Amino acid sequence: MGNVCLTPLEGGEIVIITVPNPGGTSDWIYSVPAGYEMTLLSVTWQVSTSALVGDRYIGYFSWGPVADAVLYRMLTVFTTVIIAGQSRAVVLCLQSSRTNQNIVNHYHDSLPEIRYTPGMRWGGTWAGSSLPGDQFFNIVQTVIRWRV
Amino acid sequence: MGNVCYVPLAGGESVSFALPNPAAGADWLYTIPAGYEYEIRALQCKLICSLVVADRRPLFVIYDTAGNDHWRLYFSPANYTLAGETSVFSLYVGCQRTDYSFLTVVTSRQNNDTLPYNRLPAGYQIGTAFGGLDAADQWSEIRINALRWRV
Repeated sequence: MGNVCLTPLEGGEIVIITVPNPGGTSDWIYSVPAGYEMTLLSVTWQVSTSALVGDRYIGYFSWGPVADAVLYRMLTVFTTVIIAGQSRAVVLCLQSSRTNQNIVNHYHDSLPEIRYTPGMRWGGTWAGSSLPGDQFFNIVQTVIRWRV
Repeated sequence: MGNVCYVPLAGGESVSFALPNPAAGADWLYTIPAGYEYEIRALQCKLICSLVVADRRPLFVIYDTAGNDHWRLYFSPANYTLAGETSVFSLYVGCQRTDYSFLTVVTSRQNNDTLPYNRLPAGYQIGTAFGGLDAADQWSEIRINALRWRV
């Protein structure tokens, strides 16, 4: 039979999760479903801005587990503003040593090493800076998940 | 049934909780409760500063049960919080930003830095020991995420 190396159950299950596009100018949010705990390994999304002039700021949040009384949150604001009519991609992953960096219209930064419990949420935000016609889209994330 | 991946006991229990606000002008400390060991994964806290002019000098600490320092994290003078500012600190394991401070609006500051890998036994404390706090400065929205084990 040889040395058969099966994925250890302890390591969890890797899954790719696509998040629906939010409405224009809106933040996107993902909620950990019941019955699972998750660690977010990476997330990417794209950003397009309308021709309306104004600085845009992009952030990453996590909340929870109580939705109505935010128990826990983190904010990462990218200091390089997006001006009108531009597009960007946001690339966040665990252990990224590039932080707050914009190269070829891609923002890079690190993620927290947290095991999220059911009901906890994370997402991308405009930090209140979006203008009509702005849009988040193509939100794709990789998570390790476990059943609880 | 397939490959059902349950969280291993060795991984600890993931918990998130909020702390009560300390008195005005006072720092906050969280004490690991009896019967547990905690691995602090992330913390957030907000400082609202009075208009009394003084640099609020950030310092995050871990103390053992005798009050000895096990970790101290300072921010550089360029990133001190100033009078009249609201300053949110988000520190987490895996954060690659260090000594990072950014004014999102004129008086609203966002700070990031990394937490060390840690495993704190009962009685250890984690929190703040800021320099230059005014008597009317106020900590609030203190939130912690951790893995914990019963011992």
